Amino acid sequence: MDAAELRRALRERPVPGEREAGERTLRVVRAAHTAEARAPAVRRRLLRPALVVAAVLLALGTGLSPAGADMRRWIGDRLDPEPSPTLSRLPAGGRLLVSSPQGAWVIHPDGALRRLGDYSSAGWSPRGLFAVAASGRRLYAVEPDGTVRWSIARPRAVGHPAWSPGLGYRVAYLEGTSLRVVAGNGGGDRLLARRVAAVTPAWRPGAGYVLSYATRGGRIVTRDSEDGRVLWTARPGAAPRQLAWSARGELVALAGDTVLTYSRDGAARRSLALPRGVSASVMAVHPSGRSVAVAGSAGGVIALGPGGPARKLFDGAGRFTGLAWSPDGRWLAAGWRSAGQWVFVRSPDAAGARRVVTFSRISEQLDPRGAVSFPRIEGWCCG
Amino acid sequence: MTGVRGSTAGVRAERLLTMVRPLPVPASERGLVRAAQNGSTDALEALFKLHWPAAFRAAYFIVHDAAAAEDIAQEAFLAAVRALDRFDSRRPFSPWINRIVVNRAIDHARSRSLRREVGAELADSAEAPAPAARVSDELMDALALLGPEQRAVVVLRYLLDWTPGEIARALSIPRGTVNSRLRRALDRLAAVLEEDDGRG
Repeated sequence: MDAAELRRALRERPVPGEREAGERTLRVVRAAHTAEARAPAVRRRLLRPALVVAAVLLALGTGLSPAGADMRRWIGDRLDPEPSPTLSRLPAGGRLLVSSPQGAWVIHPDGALRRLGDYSSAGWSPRGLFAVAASGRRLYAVEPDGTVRWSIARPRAVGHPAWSPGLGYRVAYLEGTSLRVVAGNGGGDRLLARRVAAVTPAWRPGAGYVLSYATRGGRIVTRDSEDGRVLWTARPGAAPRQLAWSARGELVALAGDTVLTYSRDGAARRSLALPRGVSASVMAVHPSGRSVAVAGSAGGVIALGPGGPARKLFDGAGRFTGLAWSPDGRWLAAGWRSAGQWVFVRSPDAAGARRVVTFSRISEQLDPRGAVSFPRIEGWCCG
Repeated sequence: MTGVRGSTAGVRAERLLTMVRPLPVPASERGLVRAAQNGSTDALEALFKLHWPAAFRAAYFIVHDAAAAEDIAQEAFLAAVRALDRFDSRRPFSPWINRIVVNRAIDHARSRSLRREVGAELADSAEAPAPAARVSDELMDALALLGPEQRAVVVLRYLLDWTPGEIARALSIPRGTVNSRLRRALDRLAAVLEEDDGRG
C-alpha cells in the first residue's frame, strides 16, 4: 500500500455512525454556542478573571470541610443541550421499559417503540425475556412484543410488580396494601404480608428468594418469601420511598432526604444525606453497586457514592419521575417530567468525555394524539 | 549583509518563524469564525460541517471505537465553542480543533489499553462495538496493531495532511520522533498487509 492508497482509505472508508454522530453532536454544539452567545464577548472577557478569582476564593473558603468538597463539585457542570424532537437511537444498548397510566411501552435501541398494552406499571424479568405488568385487578406476564404469556386476576387493584433476579422464578406485587408472590409461570399465587406501603418490593440477589418491602408504619422488612420467615427489620428515620438491592449485596433505601444502606443481615452501614436543595423521590442503584443516582422535584439529578461527595449529573429545573442505569452502567436515563424530556447522562465514571443526550416531546412520540401523560422509566434491561 | 540562511542559527530561526507564522486561512473560514464569535449559529454550523468529518474520523482511526470517537470529537467541539471568543480568527480552525481531538484520542486509547491489562474480559465485553458497526478490512486490522501514538501520526499525516513539523508541535514531541514513528508505522502496516496477501 502506498501513501496515496493510505490517504484514500482513511478519507473514504465508511465509518459506522459518522452521519448520526455528526447530527447528535451538532445539536449539542449549537446549544452550547447559543448559551455562550447569551453573554456578550466583552462582558465574558471581563468576567472570566473575576470568576476565576471568585472560584479560587470559594474553593479556599470551602476546602476544609466535606461540605466544601461538595460545593466544588457543584460548580460549572451545567449543560443544557437542545433536545432532539425525535426519539432516535438510545445512547447505549438494551431496551427501556416505560409506563404511564395510558399504557406501557418498550423502547428498542434504534428508538423503535412497541406498545405492550394498557398496563399502568411494569418491570423487566431478569434477562428481559418478559415484562411483568399490572392493569386494574390483573397481573400479566408479557413478551416484549406484547404477547401475553399468563395473567392472574385479583379482587383488588394490583401494582408495583417486581420479578426476582437470577433464574427469575418468582414475581412479587402489591394488591391494595397486601404483598403477594406468584411463581414465574403464573402459578402458586400467595399472600406474603399485609399492611405494606405503596413501594415496589426489592428482591435480594443470590440464592433463595428473599424480599424486602416497606410497611405502612415506615419499617423495612426483609423476609424469605418461601417460608415467610422475617430475616430482619429496620426503621429508617423517614418512610421509605424506594428500595433496591445492589449487586454488592446491600439493601439501598431512599427515605426522606437520606439514602441508607444495609448489609445482607440488616446492619445499618451508611447514611448518605442529600445535598441541600435536593428533593429526591426516585433512585437508581448503579449496576456495579458503587453509587446511587437520585432525583425528584428539585435539584436535578445527583449521584451519591460511599467515599465521595455528591455529584450533579444533570441540572434541570422541575421534577424528575424515573431513573434507570443502562445495563453496562455507562448511561443514566432520567425522565424530566417538567420539560417533557428524557435525559440520558453518561456516567462520570465511564471512560471518555461527559455527554448529555436529550429527547423532547416524549408523550407525543408515544401517542401523536397527545393522549398519553408523561411516561415513567421503569427499567433498562439487557443489551 | 551577513545572511543566516544555511547556518544552524538560521535554520533555528526559520523553524521558529514557521512555528509562529500562521498558515494561510481561507477568507471564508476567517469570516465564519468571526461571525461565530459574534454569535452567529449559522456560521458555527458551517464551521462544524466543514471540520466534523475529519475530526470524527481522526478520533475513530486512533481509538477504533465509534462511540468513543463521537465523545472525543464532541468534547473537542464543545471546548472550542467555550474558547471561541479567545480564538485568533487569522489562524486556521482545523489544526486547533484536530489537535484537541488527536490528543484526547491518544489519551483515551492509552487509558483503554491500561484498563484491558487489569480486566481484559470486562473491558472487552463493555466496549466491543456491535458487529454491524465493525470495520474489519485489512487496513483497519493492520492499524489496530499499531500503538495509539503511531496511529496518531499516521492519521495526522495521511488523513489530515499535516507536515511532520506540525505533527511534532501538536503532539509536543521532536520532529525526529515523528519521522521515526511514521517510518515504523508504515513498515509495520506494509508487513501486515503483505502477510495478509501471502495468506491469500
